[in-house]
Amino acid sequence: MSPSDSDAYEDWLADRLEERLRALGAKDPACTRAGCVEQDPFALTGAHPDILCYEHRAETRGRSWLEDDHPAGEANAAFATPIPGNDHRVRTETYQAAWPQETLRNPDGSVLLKAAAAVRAWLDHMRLIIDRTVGWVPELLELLDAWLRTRLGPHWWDDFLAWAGAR
Amino acid sequence: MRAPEALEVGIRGWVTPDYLRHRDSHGQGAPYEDPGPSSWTLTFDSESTTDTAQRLRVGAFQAHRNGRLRKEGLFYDPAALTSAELEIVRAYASASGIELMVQAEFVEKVFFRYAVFRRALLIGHNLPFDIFRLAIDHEPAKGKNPAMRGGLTAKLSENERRARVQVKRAHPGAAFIRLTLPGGRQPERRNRERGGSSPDHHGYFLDTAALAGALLGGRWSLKRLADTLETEHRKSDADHGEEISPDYLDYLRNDVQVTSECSSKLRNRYSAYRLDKPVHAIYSEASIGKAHLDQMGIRPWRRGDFGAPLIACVMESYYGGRTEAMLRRTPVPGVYLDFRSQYPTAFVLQRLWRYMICEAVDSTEVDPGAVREQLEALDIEAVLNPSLWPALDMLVLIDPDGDRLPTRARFPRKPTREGILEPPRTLNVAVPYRSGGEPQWWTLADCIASLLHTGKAPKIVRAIRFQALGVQEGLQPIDVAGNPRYRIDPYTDDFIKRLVEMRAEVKAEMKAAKRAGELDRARQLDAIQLGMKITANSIAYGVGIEMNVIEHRKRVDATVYLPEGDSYRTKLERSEQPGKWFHPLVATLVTGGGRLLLAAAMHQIDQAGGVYATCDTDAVFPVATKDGGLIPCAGGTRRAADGGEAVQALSWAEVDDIASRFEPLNLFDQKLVSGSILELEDENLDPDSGDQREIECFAIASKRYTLFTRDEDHRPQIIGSSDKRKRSEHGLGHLLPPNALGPEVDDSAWKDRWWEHLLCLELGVPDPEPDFFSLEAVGRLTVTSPREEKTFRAHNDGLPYAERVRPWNFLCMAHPTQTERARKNGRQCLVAPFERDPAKRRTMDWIDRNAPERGTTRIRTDPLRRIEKDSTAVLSYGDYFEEYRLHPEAKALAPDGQPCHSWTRGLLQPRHVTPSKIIRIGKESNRLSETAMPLELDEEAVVEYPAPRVCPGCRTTVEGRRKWCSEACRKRTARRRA
Repeated sequence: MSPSDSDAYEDWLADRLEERLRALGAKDPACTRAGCVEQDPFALTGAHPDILCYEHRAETRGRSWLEDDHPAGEANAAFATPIPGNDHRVRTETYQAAWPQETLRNPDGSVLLKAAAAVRAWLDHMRLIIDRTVGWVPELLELLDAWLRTRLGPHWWDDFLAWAGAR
Repeated sequence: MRAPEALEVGIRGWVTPDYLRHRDSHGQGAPYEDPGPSSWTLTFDSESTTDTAQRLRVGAFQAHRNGRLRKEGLFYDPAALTSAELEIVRAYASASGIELMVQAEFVEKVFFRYAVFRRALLIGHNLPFDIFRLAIDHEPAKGKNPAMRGGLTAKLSENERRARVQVKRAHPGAAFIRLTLPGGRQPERRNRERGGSSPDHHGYFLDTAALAGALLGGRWSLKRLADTLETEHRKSDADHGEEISPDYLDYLRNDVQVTSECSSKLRNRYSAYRLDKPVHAIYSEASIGKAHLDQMGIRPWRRGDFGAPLIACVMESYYGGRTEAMLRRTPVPGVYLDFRSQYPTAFVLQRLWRYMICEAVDSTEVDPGAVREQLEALDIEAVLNPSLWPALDMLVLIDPDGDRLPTRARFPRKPTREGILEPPRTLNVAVPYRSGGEPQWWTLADCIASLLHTGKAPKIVRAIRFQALGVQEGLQPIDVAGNPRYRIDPYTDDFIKRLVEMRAEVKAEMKAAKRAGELDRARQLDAIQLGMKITANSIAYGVGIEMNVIEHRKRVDATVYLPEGDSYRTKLERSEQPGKWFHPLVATLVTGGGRLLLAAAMHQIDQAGGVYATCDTDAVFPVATKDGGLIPCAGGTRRAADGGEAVQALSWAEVDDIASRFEPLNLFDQKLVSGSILELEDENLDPDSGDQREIECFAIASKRYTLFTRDEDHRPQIIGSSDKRKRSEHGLGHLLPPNALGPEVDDSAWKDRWWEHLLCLELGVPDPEPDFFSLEAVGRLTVTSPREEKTFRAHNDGLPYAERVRPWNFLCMAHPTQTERARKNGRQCLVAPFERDPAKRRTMDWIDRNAPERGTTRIRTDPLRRIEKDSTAVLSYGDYFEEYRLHPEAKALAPDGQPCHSWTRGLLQPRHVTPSKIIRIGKESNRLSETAMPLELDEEAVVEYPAPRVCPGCRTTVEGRRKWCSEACRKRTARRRA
């Protein structure tokens, strides 16, 4: 299963997301530290109402907000790069956890699996950047569409386009 | 007044089962915060076989997230489909691009995934039925939650770590549904370990039928609901059980779509209330009232304020509405009067809001002599003065001596051939003359009502006045329907009064919007005004006396408290658990106030020389014509010109005068709610001209009457709009429509025809007997409790689970005639698969639900009651009609002072009752459909709290089945007697 196997991945991710929300005890959790905008449930820890993101939790414990990330998995490449704790959590929980276990663990040290892990790591990082920057936009648009349908009717865009054309 | 008859009298008791004794009075609620369902919803529906098992054939589901369809599919039971049907289903799913899975796969991959892991809101129309289609086994509900006791648990998966689904019937239109905790460590537990407050996840279920009942009132089929809510898709028609075809699968998928749309519309409606209570926790109209109280931060009344003996006094004084028929089987002209919002009005008049928001309720003994003196000084003028009403918050212990007081008794009804009066099973409430027996508690309002009826004050032995102490802190104002214009401040406003006023305002706006053609706005306002009505009624009356009946698998120990401070121990099969907002004082004062209003109207009719034909809680029908005069009537005290007995008809002007005298009791804002609280109903007016017209009433017994006019040919025409005719449905509710319509079709035209034919017979107007009278009368039975399910045990024995009658199956039920039932091993109660078509019912195989080993039989109707080998004669609609038409009014005596017989006509007289035995009882909950009683299946029997057995020797309580406390006591008593 991988993000490219969209249906299965979506189901898998939805299950993990709901489980995460249940453990946090909130429907729309967010880091409670003033000024923090972290809302990804996979980057949050604690229990409602005392929810913090991993970076702020680390800070309260006197640790660095950066964590060492093994992009291809420790079994495939020993090197690690420091990335923000929240991004690290999101990546490992939502992308890396979906990798085939043979690729992630690679117990025999297969070079092909190492290569596969490296490619997956690159893809994960790109997806992470995309998701963390504009990943929230599609759902917002879908919600907005649903809202406009209820308010303005099933073909609200006809009026909208007419209005836009008249400007 | 005749000599009193000794009858068994029932009194509402106050009982605490042992298992509830140490429970906090209003808080099983753990301090956990439920985050509510996720953004997922799962809507599903199933189609079943049409045999008694009603096993799953094929089902459909849709999963939505944030209102957008994410997954759709079909599921099926491979054993219930032929290979050809299976091929069709496969081809259909493939062509439609939807998923297809077997039942077990659906349960694992969809049901549990959404219900448990994704915390989705599970939606269905009549959801318990669909849940039990997925079951592979079931058992009576167990567990710590007493609210689910008496329910049933469905096992959906062989995997023992999966949750099970508990379902318990809450009322005929709704059920509580919850998941048991699955095996393993759940995320909620992890949350609590980290300091969170998530409660265990028991699933979120929304039955659109139940939610529609709560928001719109009444019972709703999916078809009618979709039409009313004007959903994008509408329910299509198909024959259930027909061969599976692409069209049938289209129908099934469409049902899911319609259910989903109805759910969406209903949730939108509910969101207009702006209440914190989640929509999946709304089961009835009362839920909405309770949600408003929660929203204001009101703390429920604490039972500790009173103590058990005082609560027993309050419960003893509790009675429901007063319903009577005084002119039996005699058509009379009159005026239909109705108290506007009777219970809310009684609530407002007595200023009972203070009892809802007070810190505590105090009670003080008052000098009974002083109360009686004040009572003797009262007259109708005082009752019609609003200043009297706030002082009615008093209970009085009365030693009855010919007083007219509400009494719940086993009125003898059916005279047998030998002339022996056979007591019926049920207890009925009437307002007879009462004498003798131990003193009993009633409300002061009932005491005043008796004074109005008899002209003498009852003998008061004790009196307790109640007082609301302090006001709770921290109450919040609320904006009803989220509109700041409809703001209610619990400190400064009487919530009920404001609701009634605001409703009048909203109704006026709604009418204006309709006139202006703003239909969307009119619909929105209609929903708001309906919500206000529901809220006002449920808070003013419903929630205060909410008692949830719990059935137990084993009898539980309980204590029955008596007003004198004594108590006795008993064992119960069913116990009652008071609702969160249980406030019996408010409930008894409201209903007592309602009865006083009615008594005041009756008193004035009597003072004017008139009589009333019938009364029904908030309505009364005085005999009246435009100019008044005499109406021939058996038992009447007047004499007509021909010397015959007659009653005096009031003139319309006199009736108007009576109604207008209630104007001072209108405490509502006169600009919004003007005029008298006793008003002429619209049925009195000609629909074309709007002028008052002559209408007639024909009553058989209480709750069995109709209002009608006559056309040029003197044929009776029942008045009212086509969907709301003024004729009773009481006593007919258990019968299915005789025409070939389904359970989802709300056809009541046959009841109109029933009443029309009845009137024609009584008025001597030629009318052919309706065709359906010769048909077998069939009722619908739904298996909703372990007790009902147990009656099918013999039938289910030895059958694989899929072939058994399982919970929420609905069946046809027919009752054999008396001749058949009286035979040795005669069949008592026949059931068969649900079938809409009466013709097909005759060719089906029926079984005796209590003795299926006797084999199957066909049913037929037979006026000659012949016994045939291969078929059983069952009661026809015509048989029920005869019983209905001649149903005696058990609560009253015939004009000659004898018990009311089937053939009795004319002016009835109140009975005179003395208690032969007092029985403590609970809420009416034992549906007679659980029994084999053929008639009056919609009446309810009560839960009785049996008094302990007392040793005849030393009068001590004896346990178990023993008669004597000891052998020594028996011998000692025998010696003494000798």
